[in-house]
Amino acid sequence: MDIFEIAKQVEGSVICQGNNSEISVNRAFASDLMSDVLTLSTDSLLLITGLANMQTIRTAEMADIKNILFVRNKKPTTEMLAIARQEGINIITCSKSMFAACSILHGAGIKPVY
Amino acid sequence: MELEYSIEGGDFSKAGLASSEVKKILKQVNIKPEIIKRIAVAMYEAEVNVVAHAYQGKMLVNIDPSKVYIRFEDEGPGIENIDQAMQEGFSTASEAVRQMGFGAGMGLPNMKKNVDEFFVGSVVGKGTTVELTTYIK
Amino acid sequence: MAETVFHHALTILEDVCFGCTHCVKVCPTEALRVRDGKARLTANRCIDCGRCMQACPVNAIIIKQDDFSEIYKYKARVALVTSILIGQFPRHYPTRKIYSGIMEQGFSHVYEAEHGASLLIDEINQYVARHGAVKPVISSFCPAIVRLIQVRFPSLVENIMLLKAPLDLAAISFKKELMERGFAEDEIGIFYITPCAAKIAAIKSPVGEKNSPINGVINMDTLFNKVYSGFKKEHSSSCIVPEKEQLRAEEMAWSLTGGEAKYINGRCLSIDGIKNAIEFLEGIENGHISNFDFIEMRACDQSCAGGILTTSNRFLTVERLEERIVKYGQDKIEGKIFDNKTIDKHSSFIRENVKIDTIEPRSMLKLDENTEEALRKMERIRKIFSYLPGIDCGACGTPSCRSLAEDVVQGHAHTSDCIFIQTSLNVPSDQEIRAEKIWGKDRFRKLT
Repeated sequence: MDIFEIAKQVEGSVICQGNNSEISVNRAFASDLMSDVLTLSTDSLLLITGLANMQTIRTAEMADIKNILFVRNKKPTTEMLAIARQEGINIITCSKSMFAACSILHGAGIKPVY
Repeated sequence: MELEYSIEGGDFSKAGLASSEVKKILKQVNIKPEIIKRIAVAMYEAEVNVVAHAYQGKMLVNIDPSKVYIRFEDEGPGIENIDQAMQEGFSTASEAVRQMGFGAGMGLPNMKKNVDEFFVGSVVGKGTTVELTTYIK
Repeated sequence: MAETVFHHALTILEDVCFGCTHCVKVCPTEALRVRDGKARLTANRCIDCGRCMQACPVNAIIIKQDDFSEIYKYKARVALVTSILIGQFPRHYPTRKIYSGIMEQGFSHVYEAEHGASLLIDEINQYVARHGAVKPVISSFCPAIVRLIQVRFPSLVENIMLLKAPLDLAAISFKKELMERGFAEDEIGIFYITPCAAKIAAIKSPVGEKNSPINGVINMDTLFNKVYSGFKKEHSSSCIVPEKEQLRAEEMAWSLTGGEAKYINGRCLSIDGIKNAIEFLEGIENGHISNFDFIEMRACDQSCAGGILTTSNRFLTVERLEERIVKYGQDKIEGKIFDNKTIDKHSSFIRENVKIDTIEPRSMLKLDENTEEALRKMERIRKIFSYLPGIDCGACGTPSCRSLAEDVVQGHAHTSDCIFIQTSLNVPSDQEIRAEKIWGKDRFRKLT
C-alpha cells in the first residue's frame, strides 16, 4: 500500500514527501518509545506515533524508516519537516487515536513487524 | 558519497591521516585491491604536497559506483611553472622537507601515473587545485 | 567466492568469560564482540595474534591444543621445538639437559624447528632478487602477519614471500630422514611445540599449502611446565642422549627480531609488534614507505620470544639465546662443532619443496560484494555514527562507536544498543546531568 492510500484510510493527509523517497508500505510499528523503534530493521515500514519532536525524525533516520504517521493531530515543526524531506522521509498526519489508526490500517492489510 | 577532510600545512606528523581514512573506506566499499593501491599512492602524494607546500588545504572525495574523484584545494604559494613541475625529479621542496624523506620531485608525475584522469591548476600566490579521477568499473 | 571458515586456535571459555570488553578493545581486526554477556569471536576475522588472550583479566581465552597422549599413536614421536623453548629455561640448564627432559616426557626424538633456516637464507635471497617488480618482499615467517595482510591489507598480498618457514622445512626433511631410517610414514608423528596461536592455525588450516607436514601441536607452556617440574623434582637421574645436532648461529637467532633481515641482501628492515606492523603496512600501501627489498615482520614484541605461550620474560629469552649464539661461536673456533647436519643431506629435496602456492586476499573489511550496495551501507554508517557519542566506551559490546554503526548496518546490532542513545531517548534528567559532568554538555543529546 502506498502512503497516499494510507492517508486516505486514516482520513489524514501526506504533509511531507521526502526527496527520492519510496512510498510503499508493507508493515507498521506503533510506539511512542523511540528506543523501541530503534531496535527495528524492517524495510518498507510505517512508524505510527504520537510523539512529534525532533527525536522522532532522528530515530527514523537511524533506523532507516522512511514513513511516519503522526496520530492525535500532532503537528511536526517546519524544522522537522525540512530534515525529513532532506532525509527522504514521508510524513502523514491524522486526527485518529493511535489505537484507531492501528486498527484501521491492520484491517486494510498492513502487517505488524512481529 | 562525499567526504571532506582538512589538511594542515607544515604538520608532517599528521600527513597521510586523511588518505588512510579514505583508503579504509575504499576497502569497505569493496573496490579492487589493485585500484585502491593506485588511488592510495596518488592521494597520499597529493596530501603530502599540501602539507609540504601550502598553508592549509582540504581534500574532497566523491565516491560513486563508477569512479573515485578526489580534489585537493589548498591556499599556498601555487606552482609557477606547471610543465616544469610535471617533470620527474623537479622539486622546489625545502631542505627540511627533503630530510623528512619527501620532496624528491616525483609527486605530480607519480599522481598522474596512478590515476585515470589528472588535473592540476594553480594561481601563483593563491593556491593549487589537484584533481584525481579513477574509474572503478 | 565460497565462504570457508578458517581454523582459529583461540577459544573463549563461556563459563569463565564475564563479558568485559578488554579483548574487544585490543583486537587489531575487530573480530570480537560482547553478546549475551560473553565475548564472541568472528572466526574469519581472527588472525590468531593472541592480543585478546593477553588482555583477558580472567584467563577466559585459551589456545586449543592436541591432547598430549596423541603422541603415543606414533612409533617415532618427534618434538619439533623452536629455539625459543630453550630460552624459557634458566641459564644454568644446558641444552642437552632440556632435550633429555623433553624426551623423558615421552618423545623419541627432539628436533629443532630452525634447522633449515640457513638453507632458506639462500632461497630468500634468490627470491628477493627475482621479485624486483613487487617490492618490498614481506616475509611469510609469521602466520599472524600473513593473515593480517590477507584480512586488512589485501593489496599487499602479492608482496608476501611464497616460501615456507623453517618449521615446515625442518618437518618435511626430518620426516624424510626418519623414513630413510626405516620408519613408515604413518609411524611418524611430528608435534610442533608452539610459542603462539598463529602457528597452530597455520598448521591446522595452512595458507598457500594443501596440508601441513605436522601431525599435532602442543602448547609451549604445557611442555615447559612438564619438563621444568621434572627438573625441580629431579625424580629422574637418567640422561637420555638426544639428537646431537646443533643449530647454526643464524638458525638460533632466526625466531628473534632481526633473525631474517640480517642475512638478506639489499635494504631490509625488521618490524615487531602488531601495532608497528599495521603502521608499517599502511605506509607501504600508501607508497610512502618504498625502496625496501625485504621486510621481516612479526606480530609479537621481540618476535617469538614474546609469543603468548611463552613462560619466561621475553627479554630474558633473548638474552639466553644470544648467549647460546656466542657460545656456539666460541665452540666453533675451538673446533667443537661438528657441522654435519641431517638437513643438509636433504637440501635438494628441501629446495624442491620450498615454495608455497599463491596466497589469496580475503578482505573482511568490505561491507558488501556489490560496490553500489556497499556505498549505500557506508552512507548509513556515517549517518548513524554521527549520532553516537564518539567515546568508544564499549558498553554496546563493540570496540568503537564506528564499529557499532557498522554492525547496525550489517544487521548484527541495533542503534539502541548504545546506552547513551537509550538515555537520551528516555531522559531521566538527573542521570543525564551526571553523565554530562563526565563527558561534556550535550554530548549524549545529539538526537534533539
